[in-house]
Amino acid sequence: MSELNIAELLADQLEKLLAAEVSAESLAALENGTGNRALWQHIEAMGVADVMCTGAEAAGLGWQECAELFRVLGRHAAPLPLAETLLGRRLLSQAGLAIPEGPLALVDADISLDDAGCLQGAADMISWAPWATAILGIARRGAETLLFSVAGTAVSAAATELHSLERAPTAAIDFSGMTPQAQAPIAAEASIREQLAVVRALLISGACDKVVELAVEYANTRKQFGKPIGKFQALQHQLAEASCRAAAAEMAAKYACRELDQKQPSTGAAVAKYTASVAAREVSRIAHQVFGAIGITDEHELHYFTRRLWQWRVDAGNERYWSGQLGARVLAAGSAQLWPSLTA
Amino acid sequence: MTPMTIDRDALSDEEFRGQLRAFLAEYYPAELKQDFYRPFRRLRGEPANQWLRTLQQHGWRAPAWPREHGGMGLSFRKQLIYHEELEHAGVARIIDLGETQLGPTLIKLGSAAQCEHYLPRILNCEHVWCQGYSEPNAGSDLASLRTSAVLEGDEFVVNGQKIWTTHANDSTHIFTLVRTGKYAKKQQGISFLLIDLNTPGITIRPIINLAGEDEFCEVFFDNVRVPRDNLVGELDQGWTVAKALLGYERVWIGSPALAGKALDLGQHLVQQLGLESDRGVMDQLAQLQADLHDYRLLYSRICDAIADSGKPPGPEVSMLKVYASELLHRLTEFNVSISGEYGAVVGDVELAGPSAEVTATDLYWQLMMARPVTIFAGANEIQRDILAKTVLGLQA
Amino acid sequence: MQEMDEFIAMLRDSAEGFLADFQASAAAQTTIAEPRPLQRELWSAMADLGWLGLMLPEAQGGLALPLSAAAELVEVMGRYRFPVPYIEAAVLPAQVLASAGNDPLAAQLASGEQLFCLAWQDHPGSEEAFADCTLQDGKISGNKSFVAALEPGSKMLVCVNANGGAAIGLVDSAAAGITVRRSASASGSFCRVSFDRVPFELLLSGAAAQQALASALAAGRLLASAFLSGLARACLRDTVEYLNQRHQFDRKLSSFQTVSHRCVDMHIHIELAEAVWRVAAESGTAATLSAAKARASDVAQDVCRQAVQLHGAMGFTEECAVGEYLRLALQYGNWLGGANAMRRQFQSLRQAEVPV
Ligand SMILES: Cc1cc2nc3c(=O)[nH]c(=O)nc-3n(C[C@H](O)[C@H](O)[C@H](O)COP(=O)(O)OP(=O)(O)OC[C@H]3O[C@@H](n4cnc5c(N)ncnc54)[C@H](O)[C@@H]3O)c2cc1C
Repeated sequence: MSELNIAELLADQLEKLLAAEVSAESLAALENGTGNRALWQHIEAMGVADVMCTGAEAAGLGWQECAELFRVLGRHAAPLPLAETLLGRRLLSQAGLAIPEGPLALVDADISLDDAGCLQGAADMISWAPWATAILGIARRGAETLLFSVAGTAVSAAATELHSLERAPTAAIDFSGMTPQAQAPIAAEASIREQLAVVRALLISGACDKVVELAVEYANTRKQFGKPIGKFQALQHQLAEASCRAAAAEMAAKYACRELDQKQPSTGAAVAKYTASVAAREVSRIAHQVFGAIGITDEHELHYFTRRLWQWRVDAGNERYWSGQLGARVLAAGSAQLWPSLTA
Repeated sequence: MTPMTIDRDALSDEEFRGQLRAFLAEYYPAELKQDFYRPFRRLRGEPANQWLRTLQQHGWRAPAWPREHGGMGLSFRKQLIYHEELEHAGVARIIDLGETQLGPTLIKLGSAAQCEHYLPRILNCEHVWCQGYSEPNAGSDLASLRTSAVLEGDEFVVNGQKIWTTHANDSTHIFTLVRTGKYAKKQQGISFLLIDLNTPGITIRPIINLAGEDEFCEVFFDNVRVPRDNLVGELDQGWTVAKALLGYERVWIGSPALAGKALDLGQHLVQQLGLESDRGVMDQLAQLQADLHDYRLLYSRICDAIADSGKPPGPEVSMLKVYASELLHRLTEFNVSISGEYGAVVGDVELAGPSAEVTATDLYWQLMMARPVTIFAGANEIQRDILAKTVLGLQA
Repeated sequence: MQEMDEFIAMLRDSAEGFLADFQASAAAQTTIAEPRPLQRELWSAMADLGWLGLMLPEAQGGLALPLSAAAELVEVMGRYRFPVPYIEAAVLPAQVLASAGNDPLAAQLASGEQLFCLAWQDHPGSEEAFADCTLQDGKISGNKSFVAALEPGSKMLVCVNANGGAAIGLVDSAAAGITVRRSASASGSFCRVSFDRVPFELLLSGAAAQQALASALAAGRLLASAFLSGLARACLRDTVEYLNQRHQFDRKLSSFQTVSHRCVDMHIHIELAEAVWRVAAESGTAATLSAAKARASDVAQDVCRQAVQLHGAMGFTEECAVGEYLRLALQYGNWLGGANAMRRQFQSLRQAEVPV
């Protein structure tokens, strides 16, 4: 119970901090290449980034407890790799590896470790890699699953900076031939891709809430034909649809958190990321329709959120990827399992 | 004014198509074609003017204008062929509002002197026009516009602001709707006024859009003096002037051309990424293919009916705008959704799949360029209102 | 060309008159879950109008009209939600008999003297017709599914497997060895028919049989599309009328944007459906025909379902016509290929036909 309070407290603090610090200007600054490192340091000093670490002295907060934290990050389109770092530090603690200072980036691609101790494989798109002190991933060596980390400084030669939709520092990295800085077997509750999918689903659900809020506010203030456009049913129903999508994304993401906490991950990540990706697509579509021409300008703040929604929709598998996974799993379980799995 | 000497309208449809196809094959620069990389490629500024002048030199400019005004004088049916061939050849789109909107308006409602002065200059691109209708508080409800023009002697003095003016920064002139009188009905008291953008008192500020382009602008008017002769049609009757061409605009905006390019890209991506064995993807694709196939048939059915009747398009053409724009949304979303991670890259991306071939494209750009189609030229909600009232007879 | 247009206008006019009278009569009453026999008097009246042999050559007692004319007639039938198996009992068998060049039988069909039906489908959802039912020593054994318009006294045209080859022949529906399981449909009934060594009179074999069936199915699909398009249009018209007169919240229902915009979307979809079947009727390729059936099936079912919603509780009663529209949409939307199957067919045909 007391743990829950810590999580709530942190989410609250973070909400206040981000509300004060994040604005269209600070987001634009990040996207122009001058991100707010001071804000990062402040947050790191708060200790938020460590709360999901497990182990004797760690806070060890679970997924459900931290759901709100992630959603706050999404709501504010936080220009910080805090979501990645929270998850990254948890993974490091689970594997018993030392936790470096500074932000982390995560790789969800298939990487292997060869007999010579070298990594093989590449990742097309790693958010925040250019900022990260270390980049983490899972590598396979035979039947073993290892968490590996490479230092941010070590990968710069193999990294290609990318322009991503969210315009955060992003790179493609070819790890082939690199020797990890550290590695250790890990028994995580789910694959990195699944965990990252849940994180993205939570971020999406937070950002969807924000976008719906912005759209409702705009519909209530923008007047055409002598009344607020929100008085027109055609818009009301689109907004209702958007808020249903946002609510569905939140439910699905929290369901996945519960599964992860119970250490029985099955379809949660797939359901969460599928639902959230569809929500990301639909909520942005509707918001842009509501805002009319002003919404497609660079000057308006809407796109800081909708671009992130489009980005997170794609990260860690889009709706098509996860519906495929879900379908394959259901088929593999056989028809007798379908009803129990739906009603469980 | 030099009338057009060649009469291509007299050709048979097939001859006409053949000649145009041959002309485009010879003269249209290959590097400016629409392709997988830029399925909706558009030209503006000097490259656009250059191509328009090439069309002009060879008698292929202004298909809808009568020949005595220097146009091609094509029947509506031949205009359709004209647009089909441009699409087929991958000719980039050009927003040439002088040709498509102002010219026909002047020919219909302008004075002889206005035609004499402006039309040749539109044809040779000496004048490039933009459309100044929308204002910050007059979007869907255009008739509530407030930019004012007060007559002082032989001049109007214009004050106010226009917004979303596409390519104002590339243009020399703007045709505007301005308020010249106060009446109970707000559609009255609006006038259609031509303004040279070089006139003192005008400031243009480009607005960057989500695709990163300075495509539209704000235009500010501060005591801008405009000769009275620049009024088109009667004073206070500008609403009628502006509405005269609305139907045709919706026909051209409803063209299936863009959707066709987006589907070409989609089909190519399916192959490139080896998704032909994915039944779910193929069913989604089949739906989109059927939608476009069926829509093309509806589009030509409605266009044929307009051609046969010889009358301007009726309100039913709002249907075209609604369907074509939403189909484009769905197609560009499909292209992103089947592309997985590539869908998050902004700018050029090289897609590799099971085959050795690599496709260079820009998925973000096609997604962003498709965003505003449900908004401009009358948002789809407004079009549906029109259809409900005038075509279906649903009562308010 | 113009003569044909005038003729078609006349045909549509006379159909309007006839069908309006029919709809106003007691005979138009339909039942829900019970198979409904074909009304013979009505059928004779349709024969007198020339409808039964519309496309048959004059030598067979027909009017020798093109398929597009039949599509026009059927579109009007759709508008009057005509619950009679015209496509099933007149068009499909006539196409087969015409292919067989069998003048006497075709003439019997055109005059209404003899009822026919086509038993082609081996299994639900399948396009196979010449596999399951086998011919041996002049007798057939096997099963046919979704046989429509099998009436007392009907002659069946059955597609069979004759030693690995295709064949179509005549079977007397009263013959011994036939078992029928009948279920209700909007236009009468569908039957699952089993044959156990039933005598069979050969009409067509080999490629000719296959072609005859293909052209019958193509005609059936086109006409079903036209029927569905007319049906959807009338259903939307009735719905608009209802919305214009019903008040709630002190306003006409039609004045609510969500209601009116839904009607607009239905209207656009109906326009699409009509554009496609008309092209399929005149000059369409096989791909366009599949597209027509896919579109019309989807649109009609969607419009009729939404009509139920927009009529509120009234839409759930048999007192208003929405249910009749919906049942016909379900029948013709799923028979001879549902929307998904037809769209997949369109997709594969289209690849072969991609225009220059
Ligand atoms: C790319 C682009 C280029 C453009 N180029 C030009 C140009 O060159 N010249 C020019 O003059 N203008 C131009 N426009 C402006 C365009 O005409 C307007 O955007 C359009 O009229 C809508 O106005 P708005 O953006 O202010 O939206 P608003 O009118 O504020 O509408 C916002 C939302 O409310 C909805 N809404 C409004 N009224 C109703 C109602 N009665 N019922 C239901 N829903 C309603 C709208 O459908 C929309 O979804 C351009 C716009 C874009 C996006």
